[in-house]
Amino acid sequence: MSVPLAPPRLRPVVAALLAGGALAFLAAGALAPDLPFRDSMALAARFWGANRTTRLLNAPGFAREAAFARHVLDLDAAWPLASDAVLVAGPDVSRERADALLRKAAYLLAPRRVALCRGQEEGVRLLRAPGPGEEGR
Amino acid sequence: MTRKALSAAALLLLIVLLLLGFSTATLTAVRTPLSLGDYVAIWGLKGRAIERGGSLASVFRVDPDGATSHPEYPPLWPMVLAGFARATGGWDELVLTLLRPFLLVGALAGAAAATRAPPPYRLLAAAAVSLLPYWRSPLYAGYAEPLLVVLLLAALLESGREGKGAALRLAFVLALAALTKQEGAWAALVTTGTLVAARRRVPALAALGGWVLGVVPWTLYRHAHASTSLADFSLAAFRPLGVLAAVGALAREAGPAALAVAAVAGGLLALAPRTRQRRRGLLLALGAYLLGLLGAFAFARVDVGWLVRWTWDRLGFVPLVLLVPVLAEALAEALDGPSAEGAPAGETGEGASSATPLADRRQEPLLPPSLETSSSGPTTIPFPAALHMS
Repeated sequence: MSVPLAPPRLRPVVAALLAGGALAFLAAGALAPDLPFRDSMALAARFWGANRTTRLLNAPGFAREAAFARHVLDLDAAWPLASDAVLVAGPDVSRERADALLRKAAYLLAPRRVALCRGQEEGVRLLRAPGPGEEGR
Repeated sequence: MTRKALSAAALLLLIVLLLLGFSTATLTAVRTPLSLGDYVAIWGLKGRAIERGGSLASVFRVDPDGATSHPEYPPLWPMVLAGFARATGGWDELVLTLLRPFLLVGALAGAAAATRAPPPYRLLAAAAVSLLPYWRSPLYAGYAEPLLVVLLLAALLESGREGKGAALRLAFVLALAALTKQEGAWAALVTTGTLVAARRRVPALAALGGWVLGVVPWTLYRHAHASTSLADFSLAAFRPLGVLAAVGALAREAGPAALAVAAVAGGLLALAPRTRQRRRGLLLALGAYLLGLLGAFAFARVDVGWLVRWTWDRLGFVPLVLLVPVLAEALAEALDGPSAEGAPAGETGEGASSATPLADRRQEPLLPPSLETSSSGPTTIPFPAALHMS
């Protein structure tokens, strides 16, 4: 079935305009990045020149909680992989913040399980918990 | 300007666009370590657990209740992350970003190969895919969709070929797609249905076999680890009005983008009846794929508006990539006439023809005559505020 959208002579023009417009729109998006090119390159140079821990602590998802992430990395180095952990959040810690900290701690401590529980003390604490096979030791 | 010069200029422009898309997408991906959104909560968490725990079962240990990390999700992408980390000397969120340009090259090659049109249009398809906004979202740098689109483009290519080898490869890539995301499993079922409708029995069986291989072992494995349900969806949560809610949310969140895509795609396909006919199966499959995704919202346990808001662009990215080769073919037909048709590499099926350069095959001018005017140690690194995302 042929759709009489445009006379045959005009079809190439219409098609070129549609495709050209779409490509121009997409290219404009690529040319308007979230960061200027120079900043992106500087960012890349700094990260690729840093060590693994520095990279992680300064990564966009961890930089705002760098002190917490540093503490979790210390615990990660000290605890055996067989153990698990509990994140105790005080009454001053909102649900959203506790969940965000739980996700970060779970990532950094993987493959350990990190459970979230509420405590009476203010702030957050990470406690070691027996992991699979460790119960009763 | 002569037609030859115009063709050369168009080719040069396409190459520039491809390089622009590839370079900006790559720079966005590799300039900062993976650390955002679902990477930390889901993909990276499970990949890190597998790599450090040395076992696939670690994905259940980190989140036995399935509260945050979707342990029921197919495991291939976390396994790829873990394998790449092992191969490169340990888990490093910055080194892992190098997977993105590799997958992008795969997607560009897949889009070009799946386009049944002369080389310039294959180049155009690759350029268009490289310029899609998904690749330039820092949030999505560690997500699984790029692997899925590479596999589904390979499936698209193999589903157009005949022979036992092609059938085996189709089953293989669809199994991997089903092991990458649940949408991959749905795509395998849709492919099976499309091939059955086309009475292509061997490829249909291969696609079904791919679905079985991708879904059944993983389902049994996760049931053995007490992961028996989907976190966001369940049959018990069925609400017919959920689909209407999803449509409303989609209209709010994605209305202008969807209209723009529909206008360009509809316009190009309206101008290319032969492409519409030749690609009817794929177009119907993409429609069924989208309808399936929309229907899934009727089974959402969580707020549909919230789910749509955080997933629509990622869910739409995959079928859009698969549509790009068809649109490039439609453009080729509209510009060059129905004979502007190439075959994917190794194509032996009906409709296959040799691909020759645009300038040699053109029956109508690329541009209207009126436009042819001429004959011739931990330290703190400061970051821009825009990158501080939680």
